[in-house]
Amino acid sequence: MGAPIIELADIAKTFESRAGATEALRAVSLTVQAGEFVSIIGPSGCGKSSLLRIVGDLVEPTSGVARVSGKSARQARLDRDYGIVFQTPVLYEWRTVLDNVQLPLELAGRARGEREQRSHALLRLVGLDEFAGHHPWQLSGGMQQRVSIARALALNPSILLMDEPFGALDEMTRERLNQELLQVCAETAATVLFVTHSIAEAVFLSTRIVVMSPRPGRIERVVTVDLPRPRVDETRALPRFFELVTEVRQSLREDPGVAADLRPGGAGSP
Amino acid sequence: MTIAPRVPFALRSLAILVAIAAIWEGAKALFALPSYQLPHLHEIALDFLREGAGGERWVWIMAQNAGYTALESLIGFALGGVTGLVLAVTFAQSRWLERGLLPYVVASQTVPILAIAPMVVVWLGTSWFSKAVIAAYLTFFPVTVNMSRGLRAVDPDALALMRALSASSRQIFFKLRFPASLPYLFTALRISATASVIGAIVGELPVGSRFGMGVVIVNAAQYYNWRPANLWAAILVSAVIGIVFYRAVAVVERRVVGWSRVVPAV
Repeated sequence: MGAPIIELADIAKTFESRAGATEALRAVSLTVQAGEFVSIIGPSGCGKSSLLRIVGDLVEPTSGVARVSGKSARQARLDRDYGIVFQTPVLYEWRTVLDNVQLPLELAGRARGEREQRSHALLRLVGLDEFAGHHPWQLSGGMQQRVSIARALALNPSILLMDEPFGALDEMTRERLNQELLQVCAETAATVLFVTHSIAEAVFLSTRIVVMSPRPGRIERVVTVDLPRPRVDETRALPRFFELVTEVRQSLREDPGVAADLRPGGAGSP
Repeated sequence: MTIAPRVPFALRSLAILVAIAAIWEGAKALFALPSYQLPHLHEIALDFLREGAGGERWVWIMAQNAGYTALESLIGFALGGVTGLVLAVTFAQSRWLERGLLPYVVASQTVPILAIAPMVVVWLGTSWFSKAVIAAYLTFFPVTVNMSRGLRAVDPDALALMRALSASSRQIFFKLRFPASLPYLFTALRISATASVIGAIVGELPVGSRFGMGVVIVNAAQYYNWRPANLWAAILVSAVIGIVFYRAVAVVERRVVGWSRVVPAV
């Protein structure tokens, strides 16, 4: 593990609306080291997406400090230090697949030749180069999400923020994309912050799993995943895999009122 | 994705045309309508072949006036389209300006165009320009309303992506908001295409105008009791201009926003 690349200190977020205030996050502190794959898991509405968006400076925390790559989250965003993948592919439908992957390079003002070369390489990485000239709607949901991953990698970011990227896909596609994602991560050496509500997915992918409590979201527990690497299909059949799945499941069921720090292996332990 | 039609398009169109003709002539026979109420279809068709006062056949007279009206409409359509677009972009940039200006924009459309047209002609003269301005007056409103809606109706995650990529507001406009709202723009342009023709014709009605379908319609209405078919022929020609405009927009729409799944089939 390298130096800390994401540092969240005492993050709180309260959304104000006409209906009143909703406390989404309370006192969340988390440090992610470079090269880690950290999943955030928790019940719906626990603020896990908000937490990811705070790291990406897409949402401002009400209090607390988020530092990314040793800078403020805002500066990291302006420096395009991270790539992001949303639950839906968010492809621009007036652009071809290739042009969608090119978008970050275009916005960063890269030359056309470099853009196209890089985009083709990324499409090859996710196995979709033959669809470069297609429009997004001509692709299946899983393929679209792979395009969106390729786009997130366009500027070779050191961090990937992924907000339930495979949540809308069927189980088989999801497992295949999990596998592909790990290969992509190994090749790009990116640090990944991954929001999910699938326990199996979190265990399969992660080095650590952050389990969050129901709203207001706090870190309930951090589970270190000590499964061997590389993770392959057989990993899912290991007894340790099932133990970890059970451990995460139990953490999710535990009384959210109990302070996470009081439990062994709770928040704060890496 | 449409299922391939079993009957060719031309044949279907012909069948519909025959059906309309049958209903027309059927109604005329059934209710014993005299020609000043509803002329025979062949009377309308033959009117095009009749010689006018100047010795020219009506086909040619209609064609010239239709061309004149079409040109006015086209200029008005372009003028109104650009005006509507500028207003929509302004409104999308500033809620404050929208709140201030929108009531007047709406009010402009509640005033009957027939009341305004003579004034515009008095201000700007009886040339083609005043007619184009009246056409623009009817054109800009659908564009403003639809386009400002389109510019705002951008998927929040698509915007979040732009923000995550640290895009400038210029880039956000030209690479996201504008292309995303093109389907809205074309929906408005379809409406505007026919409205611009109506605007040009209404602009030709006031005294002093010398060319255009509006002039033909006014004259034909004066002599309606003698030759009712002439007014019907003028209406038919005006309708054809509108249809051609509408189809032209549809063709451009297919080319420009063919990527959109919401583009209607026609």
